Amino acid sequence: MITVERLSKNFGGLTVLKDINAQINKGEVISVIGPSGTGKSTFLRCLNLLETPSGGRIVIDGEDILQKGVNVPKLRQKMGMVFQSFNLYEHLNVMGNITLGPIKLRGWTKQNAEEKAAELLKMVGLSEKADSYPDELSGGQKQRVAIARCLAMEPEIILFDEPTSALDPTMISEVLAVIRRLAKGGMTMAIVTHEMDFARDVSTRVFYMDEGVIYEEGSPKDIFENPQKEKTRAFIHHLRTLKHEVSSQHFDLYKLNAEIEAFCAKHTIDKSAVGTILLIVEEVLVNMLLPRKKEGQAVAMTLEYAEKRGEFQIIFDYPGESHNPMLDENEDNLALMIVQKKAKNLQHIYVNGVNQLSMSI
Amino acid sequence: MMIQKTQHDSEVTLALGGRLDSVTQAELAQELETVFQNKVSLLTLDLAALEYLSSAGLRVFLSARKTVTAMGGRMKIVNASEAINEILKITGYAEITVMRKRGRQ
Repeated sequence: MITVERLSKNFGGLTVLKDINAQINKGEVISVIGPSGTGKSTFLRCLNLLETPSGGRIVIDGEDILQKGVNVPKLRQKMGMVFQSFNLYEHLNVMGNITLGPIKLRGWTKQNAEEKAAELLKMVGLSEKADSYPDELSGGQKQRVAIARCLAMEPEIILFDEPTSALDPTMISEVLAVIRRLAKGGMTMAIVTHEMDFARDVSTRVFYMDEGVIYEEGSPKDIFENPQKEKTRAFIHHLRTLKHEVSSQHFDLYKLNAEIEAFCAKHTIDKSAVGTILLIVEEVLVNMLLPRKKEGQAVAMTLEYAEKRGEFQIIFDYPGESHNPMLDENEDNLALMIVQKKAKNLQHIYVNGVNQLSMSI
Repeated sequence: MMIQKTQHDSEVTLALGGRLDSVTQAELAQELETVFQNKVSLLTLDLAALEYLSSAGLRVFLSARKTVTAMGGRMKIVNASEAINEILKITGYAEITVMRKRGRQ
């Protein structure tokens, strides 16, 4: 359906896309992932010529769209686009937003367009909002309207450019649910996303972009469980791991908490599990490890998420003599009782002068 | 954290809100010190708005109970959420204090 060959894009002296080669087939759901600033959105925007590529070929249904004389509006009708910032027409109500394209560009009657729009609004769960204006809607609702508007043009493929990045965490799932439904219905889609769980469940193929190229591609299983190349591995590993080093008893507990909360939010972990992690980390650091730490030493905390088991692993590495705080005999054992009750698989090992205390939740 | 004090004669209620952890425990300890400058017959800690409790907070509770008992008074904890109640229970604190459960998560 779409073949991309040697695609490049420069902005002035800055090369964003170096050499992109890709094939997107009908019915595929492609997730485009990778670090910020590696050209993921630019790649998507080149596909429907919102950005003019600097070189290469993009062939859609046999036609090279970078040739002169290509009918760009017609091309865009084949490819819908959903943006991070919704881009709804603020002066039109929801119905007006959805029917404008079909009436103006496809010559539909108002009645036909409105019937179709009503169907689409039902599909995205917003039948009641047909008469509302964009500023009366939540971010999640706006994005669902944007998806309905895109579908009204009956595109052959939809390009999603970080469709949930501008949304509050509570609204992300309602938008992802709609996209999941489209995927089930066989819609061809390319999605730039930071929602890794989503990318993993919904896509047929994943493009990992880095250094201006599609650095590695494969099935979600290949990319998330068994990435072959170094940068992909580092990226995937980093998604699942949070590291934090504490060197003083007067460390910033709230900064650490904020990092843990942000990390958990990425994996849509429920609130009570987050509370448990915060509690264990505080008890172990503040009451068990830091009071015994010597000047100049540090305790390293690593939080790892094992997606398959839905389990968190918390690991503390600290130098010094062999010391398993779980065996401490102390009059004040409140912290110990809490950790023993809340954590599982408590383990202590001592290798080469470094203690490692690990536990799971 | 938030601490709101109400007082009827020698009966004092402290409503605690937010986080009671190793950072904020000092605020509560200081408030209690002020409270204990006078004789207290009943100290009630209302935890309805408390979202997080670690052992640092429990230690303040224990020490408060000790002080109030020494004055011939008593202390009770009320309205703990289920998550907070669990911590109280783990540390055996729930058994030695009067709980009044409220229908909330």
